[in-house]
Amino acid sequence: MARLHEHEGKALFQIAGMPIPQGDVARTPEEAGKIAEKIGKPVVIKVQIWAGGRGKAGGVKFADTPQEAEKVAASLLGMTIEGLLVEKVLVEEKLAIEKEYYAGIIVNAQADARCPVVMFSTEGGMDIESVPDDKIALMNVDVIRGFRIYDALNLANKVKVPSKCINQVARLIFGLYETFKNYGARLIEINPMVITKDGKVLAGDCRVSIDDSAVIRHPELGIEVAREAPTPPTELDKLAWWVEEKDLRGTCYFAEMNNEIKDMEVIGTIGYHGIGGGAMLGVDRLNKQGLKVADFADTSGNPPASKVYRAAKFVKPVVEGDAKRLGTECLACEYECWFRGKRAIVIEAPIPGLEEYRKKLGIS
Amino acid sequence: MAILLTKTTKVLTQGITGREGSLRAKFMRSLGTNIVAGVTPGRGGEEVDGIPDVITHAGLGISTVIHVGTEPVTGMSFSDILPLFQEDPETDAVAIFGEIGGSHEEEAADLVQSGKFTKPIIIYVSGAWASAGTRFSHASSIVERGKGSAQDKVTRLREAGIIVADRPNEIAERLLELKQQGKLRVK
Repeated sequence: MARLHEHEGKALFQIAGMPIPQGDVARTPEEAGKIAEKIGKPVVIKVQIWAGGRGKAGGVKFADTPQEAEKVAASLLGMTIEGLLVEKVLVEEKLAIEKEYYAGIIVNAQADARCPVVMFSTEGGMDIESVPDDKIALMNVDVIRGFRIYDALNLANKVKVPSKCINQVARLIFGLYETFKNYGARLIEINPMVITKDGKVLAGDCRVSIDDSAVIRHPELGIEVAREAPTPPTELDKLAWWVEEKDLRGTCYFAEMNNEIKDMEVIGTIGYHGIGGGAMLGVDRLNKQGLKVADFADTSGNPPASKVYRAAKFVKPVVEGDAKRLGTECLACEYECWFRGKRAIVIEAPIPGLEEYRKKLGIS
Repeated sequence: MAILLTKTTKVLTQGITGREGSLRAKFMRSLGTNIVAGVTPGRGGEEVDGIPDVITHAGLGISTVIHVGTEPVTGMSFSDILPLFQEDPETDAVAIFGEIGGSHEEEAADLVQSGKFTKPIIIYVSGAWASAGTRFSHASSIVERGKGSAQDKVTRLREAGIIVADRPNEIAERLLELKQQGKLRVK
């Protein structure tokens, strides 16, 4: 998965010499208690899942003693937030927060930029999109020139960071850029960057997404499936990734779509396998006919027939199996097979079976 | 007239020694492209064959076909290409196949609204069903940070007065309407 958990992102920050709160990750209540004991002061316990708004969903709690930490961890571990099972929690020292800042880097694809853009704001702790433009300092980075420590200082200075902490703030922004660059991130954020009552500056929370294409260069990150997605890969996603990982000829993209859909009313029932540029069009067409897609696959870049075949196996109709995929009764596909440089066979959606299936659903 | 490459343009093929590169180079040469050299494989774009097919089937001619690429950062964007079409005397209208993610479509809307592009544009934006945060096939096809959804793009394009097709085939239908209105030259 291209997105890292908070504790994984913070581990990268630590490598870059950026200050993070003292803490560790726990998979059992006992481990959480031990970590709290080692910290020796009140702690915050945070579920390690990808859902935004963990706090509001009850996934961030405080504990004053190791015993309490154990109890809190027991209540958090195993709970489900936005359909995601909590399997680990991060136990960290509770910070005495004076102020919260924001720092983030994304790829700016605009024609006049085409480069990473470093963003910094003194309005941290909230969604950066809700912060007014005049409260955000921006710098488009020329990647050949690079991002220097004084660039970080300039950004902090632009939004009037007090002089007593500006050096520490700049060091964190600079470390963030180094991490962004070294790991080939697509998006990286410290939110909030915490200024404590005793004047320390730390990365309170983070979001790190590694570019799918950079994942292969960083086996140390332990990313199972190099695919940008808002939720962890499903078992089917992992199996389908094998098709891509084991054979570099052409590309195979697969996504189990129902995993993201919570409303059972709109659950997909069609397995869709498109080919190359414009594969998304087929789903548009199916949707127009009132049909939703359960599994999306796209093989492209002149893949060998074996790759197309394997991908098709993962989107093929599944009538038996777990409840979530029970509805996948039909496969729509657009196959284009190339043989010795010539387009040999073209089968376009809808394939036989779709008409009968539509009748069954009462869609004309 | 072609706006980027002509019969005399010297073409260097990226990845000519690769399976794809050598195949495409042969194909391009068969159509008269002046390929002078090649470099070893890196990364490349993809084909554009769907929409041009639709247009030629409708009996309309194409001046230039361009694929801007599907990486998060592309070498050329709509705002680089549209001014070239504006200048090209043989281009009467521009048909675009858009996808979620990135800001190409928004740039086109800006150009039209600022009066820098005045020829008709007909566009189809794919991926209205795509959930935010999931990348579909192309590295650029992702609704990121709440931006780049098909709905947002369609709204922005319509605001600028650009014709947005509801179905890919509607691109050809709308072009034929323009033809009937005498806005397209047909040989």
